[in-house]
Amino acid sequence: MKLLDNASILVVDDDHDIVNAIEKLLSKEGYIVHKAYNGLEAIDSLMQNEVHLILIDVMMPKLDGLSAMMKIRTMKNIPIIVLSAKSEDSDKILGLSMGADDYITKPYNPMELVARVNSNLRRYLSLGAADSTMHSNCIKTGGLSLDLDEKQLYLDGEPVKLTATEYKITEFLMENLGRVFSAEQIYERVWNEESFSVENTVMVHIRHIREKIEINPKDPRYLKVVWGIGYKIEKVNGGI
Amino acid sequence: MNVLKKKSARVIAFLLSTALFSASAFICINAWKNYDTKLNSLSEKEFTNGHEYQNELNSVMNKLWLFGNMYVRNLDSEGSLKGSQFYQKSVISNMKKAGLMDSKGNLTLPESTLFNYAIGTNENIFSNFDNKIDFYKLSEPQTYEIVRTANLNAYPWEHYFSWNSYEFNWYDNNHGMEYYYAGSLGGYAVFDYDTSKLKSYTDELGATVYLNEDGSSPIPSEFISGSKTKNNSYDTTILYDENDSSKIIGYSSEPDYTSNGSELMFNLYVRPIDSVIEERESISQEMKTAENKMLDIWIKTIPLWAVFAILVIYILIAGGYNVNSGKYQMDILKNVWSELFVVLIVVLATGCVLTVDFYYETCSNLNISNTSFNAITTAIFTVTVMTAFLALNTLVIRLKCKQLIASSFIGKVFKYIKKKFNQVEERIINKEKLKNNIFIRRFTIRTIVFTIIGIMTVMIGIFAAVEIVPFLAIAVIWAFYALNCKDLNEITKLAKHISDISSGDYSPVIIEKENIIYNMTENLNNISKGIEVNVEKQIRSERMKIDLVTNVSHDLKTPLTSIISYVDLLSAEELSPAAADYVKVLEQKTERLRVIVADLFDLAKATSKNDIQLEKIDAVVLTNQVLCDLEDKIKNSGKKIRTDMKSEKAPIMAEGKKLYRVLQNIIDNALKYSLDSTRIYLKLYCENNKVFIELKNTASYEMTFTPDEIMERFTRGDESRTTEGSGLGLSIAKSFTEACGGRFSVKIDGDIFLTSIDFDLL
Repeated sequence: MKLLDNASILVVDDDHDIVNAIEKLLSKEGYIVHKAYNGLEAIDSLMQNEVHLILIDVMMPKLDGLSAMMKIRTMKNIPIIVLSAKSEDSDKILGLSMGADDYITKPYNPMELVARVNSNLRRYLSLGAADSTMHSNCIKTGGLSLDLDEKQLYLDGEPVKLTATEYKITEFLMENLGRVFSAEQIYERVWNEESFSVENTVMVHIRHIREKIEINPKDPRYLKVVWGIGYKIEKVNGGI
Repeated sequence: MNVLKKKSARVIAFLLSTALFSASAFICINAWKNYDTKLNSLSEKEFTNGHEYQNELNSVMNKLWLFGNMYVRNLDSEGSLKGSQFYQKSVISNMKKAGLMDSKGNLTLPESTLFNYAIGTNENIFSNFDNKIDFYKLSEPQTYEIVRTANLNAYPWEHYFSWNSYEFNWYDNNHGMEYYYAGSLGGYAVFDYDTSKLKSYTDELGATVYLNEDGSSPIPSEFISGSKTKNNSYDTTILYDENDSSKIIGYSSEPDYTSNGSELMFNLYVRPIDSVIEERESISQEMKTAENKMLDIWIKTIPLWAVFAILVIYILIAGGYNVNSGKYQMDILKNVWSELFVVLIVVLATGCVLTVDFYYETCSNLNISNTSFNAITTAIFTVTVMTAFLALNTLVIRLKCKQLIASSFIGKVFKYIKKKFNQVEERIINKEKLKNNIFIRRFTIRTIVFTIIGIMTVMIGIFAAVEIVPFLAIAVIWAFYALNCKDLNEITKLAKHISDISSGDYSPVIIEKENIIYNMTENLNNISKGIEVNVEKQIRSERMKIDLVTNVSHDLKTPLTSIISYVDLLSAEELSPAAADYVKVLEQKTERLRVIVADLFDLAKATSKNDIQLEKIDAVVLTNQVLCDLEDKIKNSGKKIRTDMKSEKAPIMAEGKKLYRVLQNIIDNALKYSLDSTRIYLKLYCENNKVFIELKNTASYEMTFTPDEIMERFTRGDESRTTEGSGLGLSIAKSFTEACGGRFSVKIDGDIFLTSIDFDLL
């Protein structure tokens, strides 16, 4: 956790109150916070200071968040979290595909914001090198990585404690990233039994796994419910 | 004069005229009857009307005709027969046969006690009386067929001699045969060649006709082209043997009535003896006297007839006049057809004419006395004439009322047809419609024109080249069809235009100004232009609405973010217990505000129906997933949900995320508002190819709203609005369900609140 201390974060938003609130929040966590109120200021600040993570709003005067982000990406490889009032899926996809590492919609839960900042910083600072030392027999998606030899799941480099059934479900879904499986299919593969009214059983386990690996279980990033069909673990590119 | 206008005056006039008519008629009939009786008695006395007289006349005429033709016209100036020996021999033989010559060769002229006659040419005269002097003076020599005497012409009856030409036939041919047919005397054939060695037979009129043994004509060659030929241009008729039609027995030809050769001429004079003539003349004189007497009486009745005529004319003029109304009015028979009166008049008139002979015969056969005859005849005549007069009067009254045609059968039929036609016209081709409906107008005009052309075609067919008519008819029908097809085609174009508009193609259709659908197309173009503008406006306003909601929600979100952030920071501070409580309240309310803003945004998006991604999902799986997802919440609420899944699978097309939200909302709702310790029933079943998801719960409060009201935005079960939630739950559920193509409904039955979602099964 040493590395995370004293990490400096650039907060960019045209709303001074929000910037100040975030500054207070992150300062309490021990981060150094730089402030900017539009895209140009953000780039200036980035030139003058050493920054490990950027929180940036989209709708800003002078230079908007997405354009600024594109410029930053030409210079730096640091994590960028978009902080936007635009909550549409299309907005999120646009932001993520333009170089953002995470996307938080306003109004955000302060706890969640801090958690996401921590998660991204950890991945950038602690695991940047660990990436290369990772075992080859390992499945990765975003911040999740499953070591099949160790039978251990890591979230942003931190080991996650799973029960045997939870592990089996995670392994099954990780082996088939992006594929959707119905509760019956999961049950048959994991329990090796004929399935009958197993929705509940499977769902309970899924919920437990989500609580362990998701920052916000109500808005899961990895283990998703495909309503009316089944479940899957999303294939997330990016991260470090 | 007013008296004359009254009906009573007319009735009196009628009675008077009837009396006058019967009186004058009786006088006239009586006079005629007396004359007739006299005439009959005179006629019975008349000798020349008797059979004896007529028979003798006919007999004498027949014999004289034959004598004249066969003998007299063949005499030369010396009084001896002309022609060849065969001819003379044949004539003499026939004369003997006819009884005009005795066996010794002396002429035996017809005996007659009633007639004096003379027959002859200028040189030879034969007669049964001595006075021959005036024979030449009577008339110019004439051909046999004109028989006249100067004296007979003076008699009133030209047909004094009944002389019917068909009883007398004479003809000859140029092959030596002359043929006479003399009525009751039979036929005579005279030959101009030797007949002694020839075969012969008697023809149907009694004449002996000769022919060779082999059946060929026995006519010697010298006669065939001989001088006796009178006229070579005669049509000849070949006479065949009666028994053997292959044998030609002779040639005949029509007599030459135009020929005026002197050898044909003879004069015939026949005259009754003087005593007969005197008797005839005296009877004739008596008849004349009787006739004059009758005419005298008739002339004396003229004043009566004149008065009668005046009365009749008066009735005809004044008839039907109503003094009270001052108008002409129809009588009680006004419903009887006019034709019947005409028919009545015609029947009475023709009946009188046709039955008068029969009536007269019958009366004379029945030996009715003159007095009775006169009375009966007068009565019949009076009734007939006065009835006809009444009928005529009725017609005249109708004419005065201008009702003659209208009250007739034809008029009524015509009126009925006209009425029907008008009805039909009103219904189908009334003038307004014709004016306004361009298609019916065209069709009507066209039909009329083609009907006329069709009639003309048929006429041509009847009166001229028959073969061409079927083709003409087909051509006419085809032209009619083609012309109408053109119009129908235009209507089809209009229909296509309408369907284009209906399917959202608002591009204007351009057609030439002369086209009949120009106006309609222009109207449609205007309509589609209007719709296009409106639709664009609506789309724009819809987009503006979404933009507005998005912007508003963004604008709400930014300050909300600050509030949340600072409330959070505040809660981390060390505060007095009271301040900590306030911060907690702030936390709750900001959370609720966040939910409301999010829901509002979702709802605005769902209502605009953009951004829906339908995929195949299973409603059963979805329901189970939602129930599991909400398991914590259900447990915490302390309420129980009883699920009843009637089917294993229910594949539908919907967006999983949205439908999840729907179920979540209604379950949330049920949890929130149900009475403690009651159960919530969730039922899923398939019916009529649809899947139904029903959620039933018992409300914890009295529901005073209608299902429609509760689904409105911001309506909440409890009016206090203190509990958590945005008030948009059911509204979002309904919008999302409908956006996915399903149906959402709410029913309230007492305290039971029932929400139902249904989707079409795949």
